[in-house]
Amino acid sequence: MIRPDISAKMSVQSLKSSKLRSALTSLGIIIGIAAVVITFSFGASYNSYFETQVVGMGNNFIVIIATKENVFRNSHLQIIESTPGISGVSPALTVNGELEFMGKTKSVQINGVSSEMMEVANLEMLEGKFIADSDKYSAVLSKQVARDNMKTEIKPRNFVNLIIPDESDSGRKKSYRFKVKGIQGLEEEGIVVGHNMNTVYVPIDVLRELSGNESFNMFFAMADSQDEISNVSKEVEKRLGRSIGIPERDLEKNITSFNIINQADVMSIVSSLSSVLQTFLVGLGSISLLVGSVGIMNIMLVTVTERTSEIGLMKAIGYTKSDILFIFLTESAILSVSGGIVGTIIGLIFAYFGMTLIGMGLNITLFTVSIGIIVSFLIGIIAGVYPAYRAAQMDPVVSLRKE
Amino acid sequence: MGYSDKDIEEGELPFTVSDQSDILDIVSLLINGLQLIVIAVGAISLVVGSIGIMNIMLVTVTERTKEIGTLKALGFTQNNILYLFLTESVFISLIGGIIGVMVGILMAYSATSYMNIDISIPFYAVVGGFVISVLIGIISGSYPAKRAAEMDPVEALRRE
Repeated sequence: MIRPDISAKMSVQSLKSSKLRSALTSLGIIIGIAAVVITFSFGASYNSYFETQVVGMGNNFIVIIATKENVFRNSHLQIIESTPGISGVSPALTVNGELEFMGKTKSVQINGVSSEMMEVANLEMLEGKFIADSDKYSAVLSKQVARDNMKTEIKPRNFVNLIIPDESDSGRKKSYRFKVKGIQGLEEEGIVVGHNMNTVYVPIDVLRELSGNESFNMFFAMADSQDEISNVSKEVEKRLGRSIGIPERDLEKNITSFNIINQADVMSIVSSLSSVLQTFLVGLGSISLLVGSVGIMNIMLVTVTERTSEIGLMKAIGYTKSDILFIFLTESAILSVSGGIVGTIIGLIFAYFGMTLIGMGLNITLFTVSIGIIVSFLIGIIAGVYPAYRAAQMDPVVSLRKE
Repeated sequence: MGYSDKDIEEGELPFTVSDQSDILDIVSLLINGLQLIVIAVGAISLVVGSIGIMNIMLVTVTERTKEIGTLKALGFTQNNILYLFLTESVFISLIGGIIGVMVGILMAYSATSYMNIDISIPFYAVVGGFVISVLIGIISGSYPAKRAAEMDPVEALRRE
């Protein structure tokens, strides 16, 4: 068996003898590997970006939404609170109302919540504080309500009028004066979960009284840990179902009067979507890799034909078939791997600039870096096998006779 | 409600109006964006393919050095030789283009019928495939053909 270093030296000599041809051949692999690295790191960064977005949506939240009216009462709140694994829960009642400030009115969604809502839904405060359980006519406004579309920005300690329809009085709209306690939102909003809705938070008991609505239409609950979230959410569903009188058989068929969504579900939907996108992009990128490997095979066939008499000579002085196979495989692998290394570097540079342009962080893993080099090595071997085999099978007498 | 047109322009309204054409606009914007990315990524493999053509044309020119010398000695002009090699490279590329368009349509057909979408093959995509393959043949063949055309016949004939 020929020594690998000698074989490598011979390959480099051969590649150097036609520099332009070698450069163009590896350029094909460079572009292909760069395309794969770019699409791959784009997908990976995209994936982790959306995952942080979903994590930012709340602390292991479980949302229970009533799909019919008058489903949830105080007793259900206690059931959820007493379910093992639940560390906090806020009931919620949502009413569509209006907000009036300095003579301007806009439609808002008024959410009656308890103080625990802030932790469960991971709400960030821009100014002021979130409502406490002892508060009465206090309101927390979302950034959108406070800052956009209004002539003057609403500040904490301002007074606003909330117009709330009263259901116990056949839906007649009545206006109440609330003191703004805080502004909720982030300076920079995300794509998936922009809290950019026209939301106003008020204490739940006040809203129940004013709107004449005795029930809740949502619960925001929080599980102790991320691993338990699915189990806890199932347990809550079972207990609520039992209390409302829905048999387990119907729960499985989703014939219920409530829906339950948890963070783990949302996470898995988001990540499966982005992994489909990633696979698609990488698949497209790898077509150019395929084209590049056809180029390597083509040029290796030319090389073998050109060096027919050299191969004949080598065989005549005692090189075995496997020696010759090895020499040509080495040449093709060197060609491809050098393209792979350059391609990975170029791809990472491009991915870095692209990501900075879009404003997502680049997520370079060891996997991204190593995959380009491993794949290019494999391509070198696969594309080189047939030409190398052809060289190894040559009849020394015939090849020496050829001019 | 007594809002002035100026307020409407500035979006200072207690309501927003979104109709179906807005939604269609957004959808077609998204699809156009996706189509652009897909075409760009697909075009990369065309670049790689054209590098391959250029490479093999360079090899062909080198291999046929002696033949080029003979042609020149027989009175072929530089233009004749340029034309000869350009034709060869366009020919390779166009054959690739024709097969590529057929394979592409076949694949698109099976993919769309698998996903139960009606296939829509725009005419310009087919013609574009041919035109692009001819252009690629010319572009990647021009440097090798120029090299062949500018060979010194004496040098070329002397080479073994």
